[in-house]
Amino acid sequence: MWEFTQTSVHWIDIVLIVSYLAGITVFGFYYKSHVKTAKDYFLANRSLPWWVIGLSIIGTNIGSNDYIGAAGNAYSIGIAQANFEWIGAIPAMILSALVFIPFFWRAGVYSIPEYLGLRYNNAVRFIAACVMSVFAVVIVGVFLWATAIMLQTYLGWPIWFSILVTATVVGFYTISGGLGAVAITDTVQAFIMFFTAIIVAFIGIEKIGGFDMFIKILQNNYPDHLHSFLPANHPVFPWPGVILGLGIVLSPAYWCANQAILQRTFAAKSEWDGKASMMFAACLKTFVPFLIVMPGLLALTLAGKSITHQDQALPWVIKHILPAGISGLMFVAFIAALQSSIDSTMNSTSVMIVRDIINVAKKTKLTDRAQLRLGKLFTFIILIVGIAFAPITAYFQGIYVYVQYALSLFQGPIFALMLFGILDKRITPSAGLFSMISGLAVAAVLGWLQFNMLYIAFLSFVYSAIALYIVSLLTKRKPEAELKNVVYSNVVEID
Amino acid sequence: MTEILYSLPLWYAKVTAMLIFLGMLIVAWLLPYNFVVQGAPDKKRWRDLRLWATLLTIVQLFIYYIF
Repeated sequence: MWEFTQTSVHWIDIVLIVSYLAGITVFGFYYKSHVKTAKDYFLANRSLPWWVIGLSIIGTNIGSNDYIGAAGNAYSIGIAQANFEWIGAIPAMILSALVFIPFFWRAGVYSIPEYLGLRYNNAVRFIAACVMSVFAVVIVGVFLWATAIMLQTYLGWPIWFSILVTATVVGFYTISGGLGAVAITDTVQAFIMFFTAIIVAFIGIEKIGGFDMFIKILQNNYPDHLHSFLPANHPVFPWPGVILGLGIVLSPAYWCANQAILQRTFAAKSEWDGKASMMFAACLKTFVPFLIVMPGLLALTLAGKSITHQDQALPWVIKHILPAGISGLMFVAFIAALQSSIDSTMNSTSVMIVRDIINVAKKTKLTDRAQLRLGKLFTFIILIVGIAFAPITAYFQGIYVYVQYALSLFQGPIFALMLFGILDKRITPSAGLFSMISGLAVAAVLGWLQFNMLYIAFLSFVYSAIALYIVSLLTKRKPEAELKNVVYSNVVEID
Repeated sequence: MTEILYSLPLWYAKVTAMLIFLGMLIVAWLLPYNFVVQGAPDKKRWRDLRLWATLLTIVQLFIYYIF
């Protein structure tokens, strides 16, 4: 289990990887002095500018599962995988920037469940926080396992050693530096990812014989890989499912209601910075397929269909295409992707556990000092549980699909509550609670009936929306005064 | 229902995606200017986030037209 395998990694690559890990650790130690209150730890004292948040959002969004899973899917289905970055992200990011973020920022919340608590009641807040926290811990395990596979393939490190090294580095700066350290390291990591992607694409296309040859091989041998959509009867990504489930429900749910993504926009130094950060992230998102889809297409054009498992496409590119130094850089980008996702997930989950679960369950507000201490403690606990969960990921085929499937089970109902709660003041707290609980049950039943994950998201969203309106007709509204800066019609008036 | 979906050609998907982008652009331009620039440190033209949304949409329409 702890046996190190001999590999042919060049010393330059090892120096790059070790330097990066050491640099990030030193930065975490330096940033520790900036954290004195819970607001510093969870919201970086509301001091972040739009461009830092925008880069940080992309850093968080691109995880190790994207690098391995999306490259693997691109190898298998082609450019249709880019839909997760285009139609499956950008419209929702515009919606998030212009409609959702202004409410969150003005309400001064620390988390999405806290907003749901203001809009509905504490029961909705508590349940949403519990569901999101459980998923987040699972995600930490998935990220760690994906990295361990990569480290094992590339450096020959044993699985558990790889998990512990990455967990130690990420845990150190996240626990000591809070959201400020997370956002700044994410920014650096996003730079590394884009820089490396450009170099990898350049080297890979050169190796094939130029861009024209690259396109020619794809057109002649794999013409289906150049279509943005797959047929309606495709078993995993049918286009109606991609449009209805991903484009209309899963994507807006992720970009408008995902705590790990949105927490840094709450930390923006102004409302405009919060909105602009998401728009800037959407601009960057346009180019993300070059990072994560291109390696899969390079593997396909160079190796053909000889790669046995699609998740091996990216490791194949690193091992067979990239020269010494560049493969180390690619590896650093991969580790950066992991770290920027895992640090945000841990920090944002600790916010929900401390403020939305413990605070609500206790019914008396924790002191600032207690919130800070508990925040750090739970960040550590989330990491430990994630480490314990990591090996279970091995039982699932295709990391990316597995993560998306888990998301589809709860994002439909939560997004229905967010969207209609923000737009329509007639929606009542009781309707919110009923729709959330029954919507989660509907999603679970659809999952049990083996519906495609994209249809689960869409149908559970539609169900929850209908339930919200029916129950609202029968129950009591929240007083207007309590909805100020929480519902759209009550916000525009203040301008 | 499933048979109807299966019979739809792939270009329906492209058109639907492009319509979603255009719909989002309309939503952006329906928002009042003061709401969009609220909190901006100055009144420079580029602070209007609806312009950012327009640029993004044009790029995406081009991408889906090509692929």
